[in-house]
Amino acid sequence: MESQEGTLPLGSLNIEQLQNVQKSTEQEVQSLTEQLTQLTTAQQRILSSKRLAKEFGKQPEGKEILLPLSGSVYVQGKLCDTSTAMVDLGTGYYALKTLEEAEEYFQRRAAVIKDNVDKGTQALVQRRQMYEAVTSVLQQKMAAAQRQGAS
Amino acid sequence: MGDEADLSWVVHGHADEHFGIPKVIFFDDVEKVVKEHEVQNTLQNLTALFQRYKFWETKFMKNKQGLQQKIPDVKRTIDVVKTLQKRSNSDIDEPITTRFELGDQIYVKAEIPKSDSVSLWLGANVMIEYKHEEAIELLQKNLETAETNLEHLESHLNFIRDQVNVTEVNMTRVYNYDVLQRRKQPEASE
Repeated sequence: MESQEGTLPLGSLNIEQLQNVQKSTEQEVQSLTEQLTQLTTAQQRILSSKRLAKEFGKQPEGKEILLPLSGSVYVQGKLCDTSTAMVDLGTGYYALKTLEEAEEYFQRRAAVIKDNVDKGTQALVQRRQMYEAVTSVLQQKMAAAQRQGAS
Repeated sequence: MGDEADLSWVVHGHADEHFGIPKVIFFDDVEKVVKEHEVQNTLQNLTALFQRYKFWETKFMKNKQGLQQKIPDVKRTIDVVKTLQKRSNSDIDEPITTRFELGDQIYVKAEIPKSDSVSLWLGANVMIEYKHEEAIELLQKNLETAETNLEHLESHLNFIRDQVNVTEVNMTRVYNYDVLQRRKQPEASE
């Protein structure tokens, strides 16, 4: 129903209808904001993976490290291949890539997410404007109704 | 809690079990209680008690969730150390080649040379290197502690739920008694 907002002037709605529109718009603003935060954290994580892929290539092979086997167990180990990395593609698929390819892959993923973030931000701005418009019309109508009731 | 309500007459004194959380008294004789303490006062005290029980309940629930996450984690850690121990006790001298998580969604290759120790991250920025046996012993002890703690929490939670129920029943009984009294009153005055 929101998609037809252009065809239906807000002024023609009564108070109850306006309140409904206000409520649903508010919910949309909220869920969009949540989605945006999620997307932004995802984007940051991917960008950090990309940085890691880049840095990892600079490490010499045979370098001694403490490697994590789980969150709380570490063992002495050595790097034995600093030119490839296994990349988690999601849904249980992994791909062996060179570090350059991995970097490129993360770059691409980040770009897609950035696109979504931009779109989401746009939608959010639009919804916010809508919310403000509805709120102001609603306030006007409420004030008018009150005046009528008083007279 | 700001208002120090006197709860001494709604709960049993000295509680040793369950972290000293008091046990609520079931009002056998609502009339007697109300005569002694008045309806408003009784309901107020019961509400204060109810809120305390709810506070303890959320606190214990949080602890329980933490433990429920921790226990499988410790189990997995023990498995990892046991696997390493088996390897180090075997005749194979070649290093283990594996991949580890470098970052989100990215895994890289490394080899683990034969060794008889692991480093455990103990938290609070402390990591200590242990021999395999010692590590397993420590982890096993942690696991046991966590499991007994979980059991205790479970029993505390059950206890609290009982207390919440009794408190609610008390509140309802006092309230209903009051309603009945009020209904009777106009008849008496007529």
